This record gives sequence, structure tokens and C-alpha cells, in this order.
Amino acid sequence: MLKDITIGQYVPGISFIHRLDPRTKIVAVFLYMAALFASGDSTGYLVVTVFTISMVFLSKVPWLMIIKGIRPLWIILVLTMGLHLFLTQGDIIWQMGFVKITQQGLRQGVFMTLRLVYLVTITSLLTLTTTPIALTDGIESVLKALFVPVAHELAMMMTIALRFIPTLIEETEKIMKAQMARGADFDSGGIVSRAKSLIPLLVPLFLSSFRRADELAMAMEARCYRGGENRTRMKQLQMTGLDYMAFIIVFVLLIVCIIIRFWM
Amino acid sequence: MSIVLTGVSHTYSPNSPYEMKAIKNIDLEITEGEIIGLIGHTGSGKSTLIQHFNGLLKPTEGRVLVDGVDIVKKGVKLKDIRKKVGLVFQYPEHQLFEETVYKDIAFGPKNIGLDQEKTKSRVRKAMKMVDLDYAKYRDISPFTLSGGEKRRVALAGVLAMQPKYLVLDEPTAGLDPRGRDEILRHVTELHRRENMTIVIVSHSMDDIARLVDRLIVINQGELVYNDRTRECFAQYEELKRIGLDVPTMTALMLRLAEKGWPVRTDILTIKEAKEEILRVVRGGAADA
Ligand SMILES: Nc1ncnc2c1ncn2[C@@H]1O[C@H](COP(=O)(O)OP(=O)(O)OP(=O)(O)O)[C@@H](O)[C@H]1O
Ligand SMILES: [Mg+2]
Repeated sequence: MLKDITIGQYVPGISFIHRLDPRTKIVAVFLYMAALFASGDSTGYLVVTVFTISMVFLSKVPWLMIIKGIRPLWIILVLTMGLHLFLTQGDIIWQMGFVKITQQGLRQGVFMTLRLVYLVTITSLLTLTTTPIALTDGIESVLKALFVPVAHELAMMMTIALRFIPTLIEETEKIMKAQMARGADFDSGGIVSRAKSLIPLLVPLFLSSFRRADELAMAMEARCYRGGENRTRMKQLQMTGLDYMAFIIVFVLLIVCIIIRFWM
Repeated sequence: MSIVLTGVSHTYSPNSPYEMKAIKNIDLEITEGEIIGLIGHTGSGKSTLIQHFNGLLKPTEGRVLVDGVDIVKKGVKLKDIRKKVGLVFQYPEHQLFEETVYKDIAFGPKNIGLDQEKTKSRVRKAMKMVDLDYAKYRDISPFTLSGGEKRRVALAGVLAMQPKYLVLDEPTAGLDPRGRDEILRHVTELHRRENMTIVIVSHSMDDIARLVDRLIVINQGELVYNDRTRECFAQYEELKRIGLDVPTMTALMLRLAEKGWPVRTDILTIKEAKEEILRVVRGGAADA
């Protein structure tokens, strides 16, 4: 169940998308987001939908992984859909008592939900096709290009955080099992008893996280880590023809979306 | 009464790029009163296998019967299974969470719905089994204890459930020799005095040799041997091939035999080795 969390997971592969430079992918994701937010009607959404689906196909990432990434968000999705559906004023198409659905509400609800789904899809696609190391290298150089101070430290923190997500999940499962072996019950009972049942899980989890952080800091210092100053890298990032092609493709997407939005 | 596994396989993350078949088609029976060792190379599936004994993992294929009850059958309360089969994880001290030793050990008994009086007597008894003085340790925080003491508290936490079967995953990992001997002594006592059925996972062949009657050997998720300890260790060449050692004394006798001494090589403990060497040396002296 916890294994379903796909954030920070990487699916090895050699597809077009896997081979792109991480910087390209990061910038492309932002351009894609701009295109997504520029779209406001069915034509725009059609274009974005086709683009998103083709990207997933191109990456050869199993659909199941993408769906698993979206699934934890279902409450937010349902809420978004519901709020728009029932609270938007406009032409009523269905009514029962004081509950009513308007045409504008339906439209808004569908668009907003799709927007969220696509956002998650494309960001998961970024992490699913990029190794965490490449990802943070990419983030670091994008941040540097934007003149963000302490870019290296920020990127390092992200690398470590990403690196420890699976470890933390593993640890959680282990402690959960250990407590279940002592008769603990994590999935039944009322809200109060459920919250209480988390204490035997959270206390050991915090302790082990602190222990890990301590050990890691020590290990890094023992290897003379002092932050980003004068640091060179073993693997230099390199743009290739593929990257320029990718840039052209997302730019075209953005421009098409803008044209559809403002001139059609 | 027994734990019976028939054709048990377990696959982690099925149908994903990370699919991992950790154990394959295992047939096994653990009868009441036995003390059994489980060995295998790192990653061979030992921890995966033992989590099937109390239903923490469900077999992807095959069946697990605990005292005749199928653990995946509808309506079976896993709590009842876990009451019967106590499982002590690797580094169990990492699961401690309460403010006092007493409260931590009482966690299990409380979960199975025992009242205060019963809980108290169970905690007392469990602490006695692992040689922790009730009056002295009861009210102190488990986090202030030494590594060996913490581990004993964790062990007591499982013992307080009064399981019929006790499964221990590398109970001596990371302890100093004294802490190790203490834990092993407690395990032996639990077997002898309380008549508990014991399954112990270990990387130390010497501990295994001295402790258990029967040995289960797994390699890459498959059962390789399931036999009396002496018979298993007689297969030293095969064991070596799958990355496992033999007990130090067995190794010693093998070296002696290699050098031409007419010693038996199915020796497990120091005591046996001593007797065998003396036998050969004295016999040799008599010949001369
Ligand atoms: N929760 C899990 N998810 C996915 N794979 C797992 C999980 N737990 C174990 N594995 C894999 O299953 C295999 C068997 O693991 P297991 O922990 O049972 O081995 P082990 O014999 O206990 O090893 P060790 O001696 O190191 O404790 C390993 O290859 C491991 O990577
Ligand atoms: Mg293990």
C-alpha cells in the first residue's frame, strides 16, 4: 500500500524522454504548465490531452505507474470536481432540491480536474524518467541560471530528501509490521483510536530518521563535504540534438495553446 | 500442532518493473517443540519466509496453515495467529516507543485485550524470562538502556504475548559477544523450560550448530536443505557453493582430515571436537 507512492521513483529505460538532459525536462515541464494554464476551452484541452498521452507513450513508462501516482490524489480531485460542479452559477442543466448542476459548473469541473491530473502526470513523468541524481543536477543548474543563492545546498537537500523517500517508506513498513506482530491494528477503529495507533509507528520512525540524518551528516563531513564552493562535477550535463528538438516541440505546444486561447 | 507451508511463493511488487520473486515453492513443516535454524545468504528470502508464519505477508501462491488454520481464509482473525506465533524482527529495539519499559512490554498484551492484572503478570513474567529485574527496570525509559538491554526489552515485548511459536530474525546481529551469549541463553531456556517452539534465523554457523536440532537452508528463494543439523553441515561443499560457511569446528576437522588425520568431520561443537581429537591422538599413541 505504501509502495504505491511513486514520487521520487525512477523507472529505468532508454526512451526518447529518458535520454533528454534533465535541464531540458525541467524547463519543458514549466513550458508545459504554461501551455496547460493557457488552455481554457475544449480545443485547447484536446491539444494538451493528445500531447500528454503521446509523451507517456513515448516514455514507455507503464500506465499503471502513472495511475498509481494519481490515485493518492483522488480526494482532491473529487473535491475539485464537486465544488465546481455544484457551486458555479449559470444555466441549470440538472436540479434536485437545492442541489443543482450548471453547464458552466460541469465545464469548469471537468477542466480543472483534468488540469490537476495532467499536472501530476507530467511531473511524475519527469521523476519517473530521470534519475534523482540527474534531476537534482538539473535543478541546481536551473537555479544557478536564475541567480538563486545557495543553489547547490538547495539541490543537495532535495537529492537527500528524494533519496530517503524509499528508505523512509521501507522503514515505515518494517516498524508497522513489527508492531502488528505485537497485535497492533492500524486500519480499524474510529478516528481517535486510529490516530492513537500511529504513536507506536511515529516515535520509532522519528528516532530512526534523526539517527540516519546524524549518520549521514557525519559520513559527509568525514569525506570533506563543505557545500558547493569550488565544487566540480564528475558528470557534466550535455545538451544534444534531441534536447533542441524537445524544446522546439514544447514551444510549438505552448504557441498553439496561446493561439487557440486568444485568437480562435 | 504445527505450522505447515505448502508450495508457498511470494512476489514483491507484482506486475511492476520492480517485480521480485523472493521465495519460490517452499514446502515446510514446523512441529511443536522443535528448535529450528534458518540460514541462507543475504537476500535469499529468510525474512520474507518467516513473515509468512504469522500472516504479516500473504503467500502469492500456496498455503500457510497455523495449527490447521489457513491464514488467508475469510474470517480468520490475524490477531489470533499473531498471538500464537511471536515474531522478533531484526534489530527489534528499533520498534520501542513507550516512555517506560513496562508500558512498552505491555503494548502486546493490551492489544490482545488483556486486563490490567493479567497484563501486569505477563510483563513480570516476560521480564523474568530475559533477566530484566522488574523493580529496577519497570519505570525507566527504554531509550536510556544499552543496546543489549534494549534488545531484551524488545524480546520481552514479544514474549509477553506468550506465543507458542517464537520466530527470531537474526536476534544477535550487532551485539557484543556478551549480549549475544545472553540472548542465545534466553532462547535456549525458552525452548527447554517454557517448551516454546523456536525458529531462529542466523548468520552465525557456530550459534546455529550449538543451538538447533534441525536446519533449513535456502538459496535465492528456494529450499535447499531441510534436515538434521549434522546432516546439513555434512554438505559443506554445496553450502560453500551457495555462499555459506560451516561451523568453525567443522571447518577445523575438515582441515585436519585434509592433512591426513583420520578424524570424523561431522563435528559441530568445541566439546565434540575435543573428544574426537583426543580419541584420534590417543588411538594413534596406542598404535605407536
Ligand atoms: N518489501 C520489499 N519489497 C520489495 N522487495 C523486497 C522487499 N523485502 C525484501 N525484498 C527483496 O526480496 C529478497 C529477499 O529479501 P529478504 O529480506 O527476505 O532476504 P534475507 O534472506 O532476509 O536477507 P538478509 O540476510 O540480508 O536479511 C531480496 O532480494 C530483497 O531485495
Ligand atoms: Mg533478513
